[in-house]
Amino acid sequence: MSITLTHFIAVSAVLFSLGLFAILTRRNSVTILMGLELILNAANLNFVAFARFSDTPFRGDVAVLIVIVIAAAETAVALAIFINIFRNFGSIDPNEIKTLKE
Amino acid sequence: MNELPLLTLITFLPLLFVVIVLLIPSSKGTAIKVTSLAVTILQLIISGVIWYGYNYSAAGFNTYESFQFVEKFRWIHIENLSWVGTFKVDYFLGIDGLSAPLIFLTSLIVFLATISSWSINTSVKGFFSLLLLLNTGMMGVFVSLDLFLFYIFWELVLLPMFFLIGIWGGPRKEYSAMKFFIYTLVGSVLILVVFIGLYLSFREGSGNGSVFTFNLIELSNIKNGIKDGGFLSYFNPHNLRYFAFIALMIGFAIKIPVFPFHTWLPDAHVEAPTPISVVLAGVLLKLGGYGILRIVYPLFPEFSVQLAWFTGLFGVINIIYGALAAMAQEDIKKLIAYSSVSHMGYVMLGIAAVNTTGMSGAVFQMFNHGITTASLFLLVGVIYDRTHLRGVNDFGGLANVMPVYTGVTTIAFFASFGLPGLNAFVSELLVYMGAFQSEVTRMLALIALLGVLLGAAYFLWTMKRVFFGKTNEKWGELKDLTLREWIMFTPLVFLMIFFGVYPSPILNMITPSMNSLQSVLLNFYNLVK
Amino acid sequence: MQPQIVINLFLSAVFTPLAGFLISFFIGRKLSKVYYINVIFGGIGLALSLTALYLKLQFFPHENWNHSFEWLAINSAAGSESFSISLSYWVNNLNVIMLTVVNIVAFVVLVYSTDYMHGDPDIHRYFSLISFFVFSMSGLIASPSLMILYIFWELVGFASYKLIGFWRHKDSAAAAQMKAFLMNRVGDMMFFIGILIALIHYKTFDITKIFEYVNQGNLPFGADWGLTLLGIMIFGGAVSKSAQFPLQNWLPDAMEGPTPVSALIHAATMVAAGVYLMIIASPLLNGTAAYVVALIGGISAVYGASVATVQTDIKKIFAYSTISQLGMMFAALGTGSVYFAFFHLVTHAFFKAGLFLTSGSVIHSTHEQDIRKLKSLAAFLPVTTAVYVVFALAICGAPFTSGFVSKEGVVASTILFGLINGNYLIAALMLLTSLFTAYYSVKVWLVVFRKDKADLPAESSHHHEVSDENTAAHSDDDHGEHHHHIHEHGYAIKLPLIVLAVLSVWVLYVLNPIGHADSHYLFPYLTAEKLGSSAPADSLYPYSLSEGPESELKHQAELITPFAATGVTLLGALLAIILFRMKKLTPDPEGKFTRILYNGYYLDYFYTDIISPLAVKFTQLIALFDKYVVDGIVNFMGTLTVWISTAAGIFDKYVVDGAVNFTAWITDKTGFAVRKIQTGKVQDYLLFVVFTLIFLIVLASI
Repeated sequence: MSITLTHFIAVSAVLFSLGLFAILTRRNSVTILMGLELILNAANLNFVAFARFSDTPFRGDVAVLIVIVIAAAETAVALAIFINIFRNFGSIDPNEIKTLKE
Repeated sequence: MNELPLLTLITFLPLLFVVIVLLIPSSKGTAIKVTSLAVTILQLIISGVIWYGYNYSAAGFNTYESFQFVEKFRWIHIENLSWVGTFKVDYFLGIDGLSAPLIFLTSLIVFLATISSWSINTSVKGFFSLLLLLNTGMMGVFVSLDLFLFYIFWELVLLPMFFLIGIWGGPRKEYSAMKFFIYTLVGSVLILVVFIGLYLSFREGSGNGSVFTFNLIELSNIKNGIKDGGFLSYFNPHNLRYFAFIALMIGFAIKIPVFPFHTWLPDAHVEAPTPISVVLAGVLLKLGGYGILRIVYPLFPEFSVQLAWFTGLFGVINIIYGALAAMAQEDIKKLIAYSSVSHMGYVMLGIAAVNTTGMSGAVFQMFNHGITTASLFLLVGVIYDRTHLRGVNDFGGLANVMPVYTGVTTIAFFASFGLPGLNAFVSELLVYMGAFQSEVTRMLALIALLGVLLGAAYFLWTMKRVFFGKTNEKWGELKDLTLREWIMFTPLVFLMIFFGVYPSPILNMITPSMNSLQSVLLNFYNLVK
Repeated sequence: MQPQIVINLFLSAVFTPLAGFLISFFIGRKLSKVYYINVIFGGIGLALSLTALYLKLQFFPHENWNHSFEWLAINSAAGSESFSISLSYWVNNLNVIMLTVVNIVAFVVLVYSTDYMHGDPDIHRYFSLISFFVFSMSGLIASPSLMILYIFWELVGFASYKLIGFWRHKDSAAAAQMKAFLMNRVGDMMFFIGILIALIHYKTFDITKIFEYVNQGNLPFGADWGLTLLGIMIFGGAVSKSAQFPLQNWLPDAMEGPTPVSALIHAATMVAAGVYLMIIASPLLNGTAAYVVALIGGISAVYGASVATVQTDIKKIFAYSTISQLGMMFAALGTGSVYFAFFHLVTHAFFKAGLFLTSGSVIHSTHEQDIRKLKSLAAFLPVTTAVYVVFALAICGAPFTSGFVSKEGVVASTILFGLINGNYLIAALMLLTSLFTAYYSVKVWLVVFRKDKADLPAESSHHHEVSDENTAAHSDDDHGEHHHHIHEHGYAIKLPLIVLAVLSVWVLYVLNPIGHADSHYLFPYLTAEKLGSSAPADSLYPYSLSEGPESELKHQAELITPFAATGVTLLGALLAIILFRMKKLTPDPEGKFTRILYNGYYLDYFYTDIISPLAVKFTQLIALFDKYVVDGIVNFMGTLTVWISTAAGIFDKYVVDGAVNFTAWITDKTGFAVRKIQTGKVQDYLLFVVFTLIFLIVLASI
């Protein structure tokens, strides 16, 4: 049994769903961030897979590199924000942070 | 000389200075006062120039030739405006023998009122800017020859007056200001309705080029009436001219004021501060008489002649009723207000005579009443400033304490009830002669002669109670006239004597116009008959 | 001799007092003795008018000059009613004489006033007003235009008003000046109506032109009653100005003014202006109007003389006497003798001014004008007493006085009127007047001036005592205090009195006092044709004693008069003397009949206590009407509007606005319901997004 594009997409879909589930259900911002990373990686996997199986000269691997770099930067900024939020509110549960709403 | 737009200058100079006054900081009260005074002095100078350049020999009434210092520009011009066609309003100014004396009167009275306002110390800025605005409005009414323009100025007079009474007035100022405003606004509405009716009934120009018009001169030409559909056109058999005439007369009568529409006047006078009373009595009341002669008479000649008896009747009621009511007043200001009602009755009676003598007398009476009543209110202001009282019975024997003041008052009082040698005598004489010459108003004139007696009665009674007899000890220390008051009264006393002895400079201005008006009226009346 | 010279002199005499007035009015306050300017100008005026008189009568006895300048003109295109008021003047024998009389009295009074008013703080005001009055009076005399005449007519009234109230601190003076002006205004109204009638009918104010029209048979309203009306209306002005019945009450009150003023204005000149007016307007009088004039004159004559008999105030006696004498002039005028009316005016001007100045001298010396407190003045005031005798004789019409000549003429013309008409009413009234006149003149002499032997020694000894010790000036005794100060004042007081006394002697007017009017010095200059009114309008002159042809009746009248008039006068004098001897002549007004007389038949009460309060009540009623009815309607309209707007407001609030609010309420509730979705939680929103996306994908794939 050879590994086809379908297998890659299935893995990617599982990854995406797990990430989405984490984002929607977790109460910890860091976990949400990790869910976000999972979604990004699902997208990365899709990029690479399509690049491998496509007939067209589609350089998905380049996009993957950009996504990884941006994800790293984004994570750094997000964590810094989380630390500040924790300092101000004593929590990083997004439901607790509703000063603007009130 | 005639290159300068003198009438625009004299009308809009105060408006320009409103802006300047508003730019002066409120803390500099004197600067504001001096600026306002400067405007009025400029206006006096301009009216002097106008008098100098006035051509006494121009005749006619409400024709293009009869006006002098004419300025005519296209102002509002909207073409293809649905069924109206071209909507056209001209900026059209000019004066003739009817308006010229009133312009001189206005510039003089406003000048004196400004001097008299020197004692105003609350919200100086507001007061003087409103006074200047009022000034523009009054001048504008007398110079505009386009009904649209006329109405704008007419309304412009109301608003500053409302605030001037309502803010700087006495204890019941809100009530009086409101009464004044609403009452005169009712008149304005009647006037406006008729103006619009007139606009839609007359067209200027001929054939397809003709447009609806607000132009007073075109409106005065009965032939410009629309043959079918113009409901105020003479040619329309179902016209409403009768009602329009009455509405317009009532509208102007409220301003004069004519019995029974006069009750706003005593209240307004009692509550208004002295300078405002002066302007109100000196100029504002003349707007009504001016309106009747300038607009009602030439535009509705047939009813003006037919209903002259009723006009005269109301004049006589004013004369007698005003005098009787004046006699019973305890407040000197109210007394003078009712005497104004009585004296404006002469204007109505003169107008009702529909002849040169009577109508010239009426116009001259407006001028003279402006001078005498302005001085009367200024005179009341003098003792009110000193004592904060103005009851007839609050004083007594002032003649011993304030001889000069008493002398000026004597002249003003005797001028008011028509002592020969003083100005009002000439105008009252002309009114009586005119009314007696006209067979319609002859009996009315006879009844009105009672006014000669009643006028003397209430003024002399007031003289007696206020000035003669034992001096009330409370007022033993009152000071006689100050320099500022001398400056106010000198020109007034001079004019009262000058026009009493030599009335021709003004009369020669008035009579040619009134003469033409009479011919216009009689020609038309004979035509109709 | 150029006529222009006379005219210029005349006009200069008219305007000289104006110059005096202006100078003293404007610089009076600054200089202390400036009033001498008025006296000097009075003298100049007198000199000018005397010269004009002499030249006019000497060189131009038959000429009348009439000039006019346009003052104001109303030109009418219709043509029918253009007219002009002209500043016109005329110079004729009548008004030159009148002007001279005015100037003589004025000058005399000015001189007299320098002493009389000495020390008054407002003396310059007094003198400038006197000058103003003289100017106004001269202007009145100078014009043939009824309108100009009316203007000056009002101005003399104004001067009179100011001078009656000269002492401004007196309440009574303030009341008197107002009364005088207002009562005059009643007559002025009638005069004015007369002028208007003349104007609409004749289109002119010039009285000479009006005469021409009337003579041509052109009558107002085309009927005789029109002429009657015109005459009576003009006479109305004269009635109030000359204080005739029923408008006479202001004159006694006018005595509140300084006495020289009473002499000049309220005795000699201004009140005579009414007579002067009727003299120049006499050609307008037809039979009816003339009879009205005579009747009013007769009633006033008896009224004044009878009331004068019981007055206690010496000035009021003379005031009522003035009413009566003016009434006699009107009676003469109305019965046709215009000449004697004028002649009596002239003589009366001098002797009545003299009487007032005499009373002024008494008041000045004693500070008392109540005859009950005055006694035996002959002992202290010899000159005053002497001139009083002359004036009293003149007013009674005793022989060898001017009054004799003029009063004879007046009575004779009324008797002639009776002889022709069979109507002796006017003549009877004249004789009754003569009786009363003699009575009060003698009474004043007896009560005030006559040396009373009974109490004089005591008086004079007392007088001596006090004068020995000057310090005890204010003695307790009333009499003593009075008489202590009594002494006659200087020449400024005495000379005017003497001048006027001389002017009251007959020889200045006629050589033969009982001769025919032809022999009077003035008569040849004052016949009807000399005055420019060539023919009388109606049958006025046939009754005239002096005009027209000789007749038997005239001789009869002239024969009867001296006996009748002198007899009646003697009767009056005797009555006074007899009553005095019987000690029944008390100055106090006692008894019912006397009270009625004293109060002037209560006419004054009728005006001041009935008419005047009623008028004031009426005006108050009007004021209340104005306040509660006329203004009430206005305020009711206002209130009504407020009510309507309140109702509209309620409608607006609950119905119109209710609908709006309902919509808002619905919106609000909906929003409130929908709001719950907005939790503000990112994850909730994201969940929505995911489900919506799934929903959309499913939707798209179907």
